[in-house]
Amino acid sequence: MTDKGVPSALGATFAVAEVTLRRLLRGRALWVGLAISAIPVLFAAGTRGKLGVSVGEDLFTFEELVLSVLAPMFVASSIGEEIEDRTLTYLWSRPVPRWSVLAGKLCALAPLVLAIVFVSWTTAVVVSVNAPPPAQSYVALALGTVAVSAVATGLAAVSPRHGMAFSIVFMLFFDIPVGVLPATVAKISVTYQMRTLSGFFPSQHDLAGAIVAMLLIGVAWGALAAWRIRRLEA
Amino acid sequence: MSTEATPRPAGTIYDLGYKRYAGARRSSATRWRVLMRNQVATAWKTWWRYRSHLAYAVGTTLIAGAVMYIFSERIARSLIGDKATTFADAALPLSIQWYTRAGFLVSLTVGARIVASDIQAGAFTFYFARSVRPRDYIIGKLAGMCVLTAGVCLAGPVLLSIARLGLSSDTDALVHALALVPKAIAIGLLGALVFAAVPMAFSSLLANGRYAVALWTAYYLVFGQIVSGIGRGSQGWIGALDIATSLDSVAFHLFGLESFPGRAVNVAAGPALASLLVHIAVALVIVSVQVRRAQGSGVGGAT
Amino acid sequence: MSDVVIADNVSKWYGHVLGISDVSWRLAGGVVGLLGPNGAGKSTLMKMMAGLLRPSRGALTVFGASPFEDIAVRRRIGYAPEHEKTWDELTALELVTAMAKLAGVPGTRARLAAEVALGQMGMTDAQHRRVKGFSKGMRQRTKLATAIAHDPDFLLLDEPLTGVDPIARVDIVARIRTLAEAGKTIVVSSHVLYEIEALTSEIVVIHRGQVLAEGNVYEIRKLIDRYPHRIRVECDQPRVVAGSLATSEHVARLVFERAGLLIETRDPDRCYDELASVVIERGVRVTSLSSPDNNLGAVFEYLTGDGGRR
Repeated sequence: MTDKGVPSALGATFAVAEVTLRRLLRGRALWVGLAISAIPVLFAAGTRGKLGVSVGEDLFTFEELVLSVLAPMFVASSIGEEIEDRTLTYLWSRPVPRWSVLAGKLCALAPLVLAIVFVSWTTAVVVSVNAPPPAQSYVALALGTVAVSAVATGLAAVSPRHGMAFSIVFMLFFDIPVGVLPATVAKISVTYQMRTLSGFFPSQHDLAGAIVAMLLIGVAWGALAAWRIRRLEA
Repeated sequence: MSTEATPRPAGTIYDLGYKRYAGARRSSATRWRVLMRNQVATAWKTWWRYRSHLAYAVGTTLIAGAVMYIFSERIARSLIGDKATTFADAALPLSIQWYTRAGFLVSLTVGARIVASDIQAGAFTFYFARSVRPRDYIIGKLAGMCVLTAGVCLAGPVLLSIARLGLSSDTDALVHALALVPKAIAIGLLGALVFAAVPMAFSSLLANGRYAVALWTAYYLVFGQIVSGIGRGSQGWIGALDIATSLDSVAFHLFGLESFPGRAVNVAAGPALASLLVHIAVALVIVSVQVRRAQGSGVGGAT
Repeated sequence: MSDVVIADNVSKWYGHVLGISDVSWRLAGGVVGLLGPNGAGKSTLMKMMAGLLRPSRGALTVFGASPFEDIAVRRRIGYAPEHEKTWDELTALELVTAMAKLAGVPGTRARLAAEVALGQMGMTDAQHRRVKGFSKGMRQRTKLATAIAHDPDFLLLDEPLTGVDPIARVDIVARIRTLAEAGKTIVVSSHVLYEIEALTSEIVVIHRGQVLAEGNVYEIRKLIDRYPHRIRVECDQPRVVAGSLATSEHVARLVFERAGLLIETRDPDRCYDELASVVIERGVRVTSLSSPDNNLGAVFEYLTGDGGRR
């Protein structure tokens, strides 16, 4: 009745993604994420017309903060929950490469985080200045979402139980402060590169470098996650 | 020989050797201490949960103490605006923001999960099947959290204030500096309470520890930074809604550094203190309502 | 035909705690009951066979490959874990379909395979309900369905009867027996000994991380010299029977009970022969003949009760 083949890595990834998304949409995490993403919108509504030329900078900075919480909350938390609930035994006893579990979760959750952040950003800017944000800012948020999600995945693979807390602490206490340092080391910061790409910070204008840097950061953390997950036991 | 049947007893209890405990029992008014001790012991178990944050607070104390001692007579003019203040006097209030960070970290790894984890694990069934009342649970958990946050928010400032006494040049200066100790205790206690109660409230709102952590983080950092930024720009009281800003403001006003051009500028001590007290009060009400509701509905049974 | 599982000097440490100690064992096929006290190492061994844990030392192969390293061999393994937590937000059908897809069943057939598996476990009526609202028995059945949906050759069932009501237990045991009759190799771990007995007489007893005994339960029983076999005879002339057996060397003790005689013997086969002769020759009317300790429970107790000493 059943074929005895092994699922392809892509097939396994999509199967994990499907399950992850379905569970998320039926749970409460989405509502918590939407509540968090509403904070910049409330700020925009409360300060409508009162902020000066720095409105773009301010709103973008707040979106970075939102992203720094949302990506760990969705991505790292999803991996940590599988470990804590021991449902990872179902996944790892299946004939799928271990990295496909991470990839599947990333495929499901990163676009969702991106969608939430896009909606939050667009709404906040429209409410504040009655005009849509520049297209460049969306590119910055998109790449930033991928990079931060990769960071969260990497940290969740290193420490599955506490990945979310570590990811949030890493972003808020390391990445963001390092990103505002007036030194070359700031370039390892995801938020620094996001600001460069956004176009709101004229002093940071190396767009190509920012794209490459964010892709490299994402790949590095993804590679760490893939390496680590191979050795993890359920 | 008698042929009468032996009447069977209506019921028999056999002694299996178990003896009901007949000794003294702990008063129900002291049950909260058991929860408090359990809370502290659990947090102490791993490095990441509490000890690392305590180490961070200890490091802050050592660095601030070293600055206080080494640069004691130097004027910290460039930092404190036009008020001439020595490092000996400025180190303590300036260090409060670092203890605040330690308090936030403790709230992240312990406080924001404290009630949610119990609900998730089914511990409410465990607690309330016994003679533990909701108020015992709330007081016990809160007291445990206060002990933990006091370790990072209170101990350091108190030690620094005592160290400051040691730097007094004469008796008059010593007597003058004595006022620092109760001020340090006051700001430390305020920080300990707010970082104990408010994350607990978030934890009681959601039955999932992770989402509670995320929501608390978003409130403290994202919402906090937003209102703090608005407060800096608009010179209004709204900046006081940021817990970190309010703590800084109260600290600077307590230690006489009102003109500090940091994040607490333009936030008066009155609104700042009121904000912190309202945060604590609202948090306690939320925790109380949520715990009683959970206990009354029998929730918390792990599947 | 090669062995399904080969464990060669396998040990597993969890930090300083020894889970499995130097286990060498081969599983040829059929149904095997994996028994042991709590903390003996049953789940550790199960997880190593399922590819969830890697041996700290030694090698464990399933169908000739390491299940931890080799993805393809896991296609032939179906594992139902001990814990009951699953993805509660999904319906039973969605859960089993997802598991089938992840096990390599093509997408279009995965749903059909899931429906068949749930039907085999008696969950057809509840397959569209969310797992969150299931009773323990329903969760266990759903778990078993996830293990069989992809038609594996080797089933690992870790405590499949935990928390299940007596009626459901009988049903699940019958369904497992059906799978065994279909030719699958099954390892069942359980504390419910009489139900393991209903499934198989081949057992592996683990104690303190080591294999204490393996093989047919009755053969193992014969090897336990420390405890003579007990045979209870209820008859109308117990003293006649006792008198005939008293001079036999294999008889260790005779105890008169209210309704008969309890014989303790070191050679049960010989004892039964002599008993039959006595009954026929002396016209004894036997109303009951039983062996209180020739069963899995007694064997388990004798093996593990004294710390594993035979």
